[in-house]
Amino acid sequence: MADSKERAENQAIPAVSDETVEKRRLRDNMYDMITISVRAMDRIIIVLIVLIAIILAIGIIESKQNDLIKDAGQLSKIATADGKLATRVDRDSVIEYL
Amino acid sequence: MENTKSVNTKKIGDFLLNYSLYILLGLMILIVISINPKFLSISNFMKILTQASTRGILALGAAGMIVLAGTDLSAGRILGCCAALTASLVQSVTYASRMYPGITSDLPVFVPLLASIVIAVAFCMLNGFGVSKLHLHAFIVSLGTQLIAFGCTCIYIDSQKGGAQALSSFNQTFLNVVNGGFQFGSFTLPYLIVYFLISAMFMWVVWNKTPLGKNMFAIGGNTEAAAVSGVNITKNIMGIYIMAGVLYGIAAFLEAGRIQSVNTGTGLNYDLDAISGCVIGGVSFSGGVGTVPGIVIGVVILQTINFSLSFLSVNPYLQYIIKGLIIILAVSIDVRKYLSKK
Amino acid sequence: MGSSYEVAIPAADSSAAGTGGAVVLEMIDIDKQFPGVKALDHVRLVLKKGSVHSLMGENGAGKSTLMKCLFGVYREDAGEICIEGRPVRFDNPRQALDNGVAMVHQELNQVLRRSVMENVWLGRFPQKAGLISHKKMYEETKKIFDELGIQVDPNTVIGKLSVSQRQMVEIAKTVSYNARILVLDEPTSSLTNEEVGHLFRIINKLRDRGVGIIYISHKMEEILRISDEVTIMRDGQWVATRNADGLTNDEIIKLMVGRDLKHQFPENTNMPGEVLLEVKNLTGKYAPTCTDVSFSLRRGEILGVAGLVGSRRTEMMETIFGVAHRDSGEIFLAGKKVENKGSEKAIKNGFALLTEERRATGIFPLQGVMFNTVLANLRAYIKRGLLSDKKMRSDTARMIENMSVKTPSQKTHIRYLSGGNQQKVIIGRWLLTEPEVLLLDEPTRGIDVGAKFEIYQLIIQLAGRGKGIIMVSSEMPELIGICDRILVMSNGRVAGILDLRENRYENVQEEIMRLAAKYV
Repeated sequence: MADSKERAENQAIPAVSDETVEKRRLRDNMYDMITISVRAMDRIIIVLIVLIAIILAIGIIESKQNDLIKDAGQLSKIATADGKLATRVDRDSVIEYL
Repeated sequence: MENTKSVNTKKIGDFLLNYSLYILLGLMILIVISINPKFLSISNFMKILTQASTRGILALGAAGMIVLAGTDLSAGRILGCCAALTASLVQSVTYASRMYPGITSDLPVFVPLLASIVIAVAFCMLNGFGVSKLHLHAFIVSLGTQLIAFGCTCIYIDSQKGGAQALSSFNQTFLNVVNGGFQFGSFTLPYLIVYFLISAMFMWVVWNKTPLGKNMFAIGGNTEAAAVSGVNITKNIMGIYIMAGVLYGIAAFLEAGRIQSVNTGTGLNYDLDAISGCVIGGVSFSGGVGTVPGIVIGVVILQTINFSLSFLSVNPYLQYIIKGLIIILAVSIDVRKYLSKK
Repeated sequence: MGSSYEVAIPAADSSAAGTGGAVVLEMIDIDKQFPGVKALDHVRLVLKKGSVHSLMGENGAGKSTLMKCLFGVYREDAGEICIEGRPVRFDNPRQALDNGVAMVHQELNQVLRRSVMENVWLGRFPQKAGLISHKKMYEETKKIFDELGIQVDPNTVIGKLSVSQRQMVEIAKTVSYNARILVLDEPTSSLTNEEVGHLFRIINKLRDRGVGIIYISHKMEEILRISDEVTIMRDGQWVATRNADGLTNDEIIKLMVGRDLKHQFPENTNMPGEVLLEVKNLTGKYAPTCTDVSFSLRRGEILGVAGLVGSRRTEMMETIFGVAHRDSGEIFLAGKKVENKGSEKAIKNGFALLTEERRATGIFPLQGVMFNTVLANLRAYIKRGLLSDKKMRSDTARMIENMSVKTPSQKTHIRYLSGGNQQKVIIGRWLLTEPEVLLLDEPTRGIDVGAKFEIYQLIIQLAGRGKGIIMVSSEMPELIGICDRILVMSNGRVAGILDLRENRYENVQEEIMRLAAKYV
């Protein structure tokens, strides 16, 4: 049986035959070492949710203001399907055309 | 034991975060309802589904590219071009300033549909050729195709005798085919929703039950392994792009009928909605992952957000911001799911 | 510690050197479960200050999984990690590094176009009044290099250095982080004997300064030379920890393998029959590739392909299979000329190619076992235009049984399976296409000993059924153990063919090495 010394000497250096293979191996190693931890990811997600909630709140409050203003004669804008901004006359007719 | 308690909180935490998008949506709907109870109605629900239909068909097409680890930024402009083509062929013969005054009787509806599909497939084959034969990145190729499609649309619309004007005033047959619905007593099920569901079912079969579908996942998951295992990469990529073209053509045809007026701006940014719907629906940008039901749900969720924000008359600029944040959230959740599988 | 840019090289602390020192790292009863696979089972490791502790085990024994738990890449399911008595858990390798636990990988992640000193101080460049001070960077770097005896100019572009030098820079970097615990992963796989000597000198210096070193390697000679203690793992379990003093090679092998070496290979009693494959003057089109390769393969024969790194064995296999372009030459299968233009054609003609790197070019990591099994054979499952789930499932079940694949279900994501089972799935994928000739490129690389034996059995069985098998391998014992003949390649050419059945060679391994060096 192969003497361990011979075995050790004859252990060929792992061949990296292809650039693609090398790139893939490095990429896999990189994924294994994604430096962002799950916990950091959690924090990011929570921040995003809070941000969305805040902006949503701003949007709703603003629209309520506009509702009051509209009664005083001013108009607000709504986006329609073709990207144009239509002045809002009647909310109901606008949501028909999203 | 100390350990199980912390493990349980961890499990709840994981669940909350992984599904936070859906929870957020649920809460949003509750808020909307509490502000204005009129939101909760069958007709609103139907509206959302109808509005999601054409976007959904577009998304089903674009999803193929995303699973292939690419993307498609030209979907919107292609839709615009084909919608313009459709519109020009379905204008009412009584409309004096129609594009083709030579047409004196309504064309059979399948003619504009076929024309729309053919042009869409042509554009998609251009994309597909660039990706499969020239090994260009899908992002870059579709960027180019996007501009080409837009140019074609402008030229086409401009070529009208009366100069560039929006194409509208469609014939009644066409409008019925697109905007009609199945009557069940006092309840109407819009055809658009049915078309969407049929498209979804068809794509589900393609993705799960045909070699093309399996090959798509293989190529997106590990292109080299697919190449070695007997998958014809070029043929399959072209196949996926052609499929997308068919869906784009159908979506364009229907969209023309839905919005009833097509101009050069039609289709702008539709691809972003399509891609967002896919991402929310779980299609991963790293390729090789995605399900048809996921896409359907993702698109409906996106449209629900659109609708409810407009329902509350939220400033449309803020709507853009919120939508953008939601997409980032969807991708973050995707990454987190990957990380927590460590 | 003063300003964070001043390096406090641990003062020489000879009281901690050797095996009698204080404990700096304890990994206790570490468990790690992946779906269907228990990667670590109550593993323990105790590292002493100022000592070199080697971690040994076959591929798949769990060494890298254990290290990944230490560095926070994985989170262990149970058990504790304590550093200097305090329990710790890192979220990522960066955090580990900031806490004095560093690793030098086999594949060095260095920014090759930047200088040595910039690489060392990446992310924490020494500053003077808000601007980066190159002078200070140079001095700090030189200080560490001098202490460790590294003869490298900190200003050199790191890409220009040899692998050995780059490795030393990496080690110096860990010193600059005041690493108390250093893990070296297969550090000598690319080094010459002289460079190994230099590395060991540095390790000794670090040892004298009280750094605890975990040394992962396969090379038993070196391990016995440099270690104070040796821990052996097998199949995810801790097997033994011994003092290196007095430990012998045979003992290590027995502990690692767990069975008598004599029975490492199943018996091959196949009698090769008629000629199945003839390759004549095969030359690949795009360099680097094989040149003028000719040989024949019989039914029932296992032909090994040996050679050094760079002998273009993989390229030859790829050219035969048709995924690499052929410039000239001919291939005959059972007398008929075949043109394998691409994998589709090759499969139709009855060829199969098991690629060298299953993670890169073999498995579809995001898919399940069934997907990975049936992918090459989809055509066979089309019933009335659609794929038949029933047929795919039954074929997969058949493969799982025939190959003894350990998997909880057909839907399990393949990346959760051990390397050996993954390889079996891919072999199963090929078997479904019913090939005549199987081209296997390093079929047992990265696979634990138990699975290796099963794969050898499989290969011999397949040969017994009349298939022709060509097997590229870098493990001599394997080639000698199961092959009928061995083709030795050198620099893209055929250097010679050794017929193990017909001839008795004095020393086969030497013959192979001699031939392998023929055209280099």
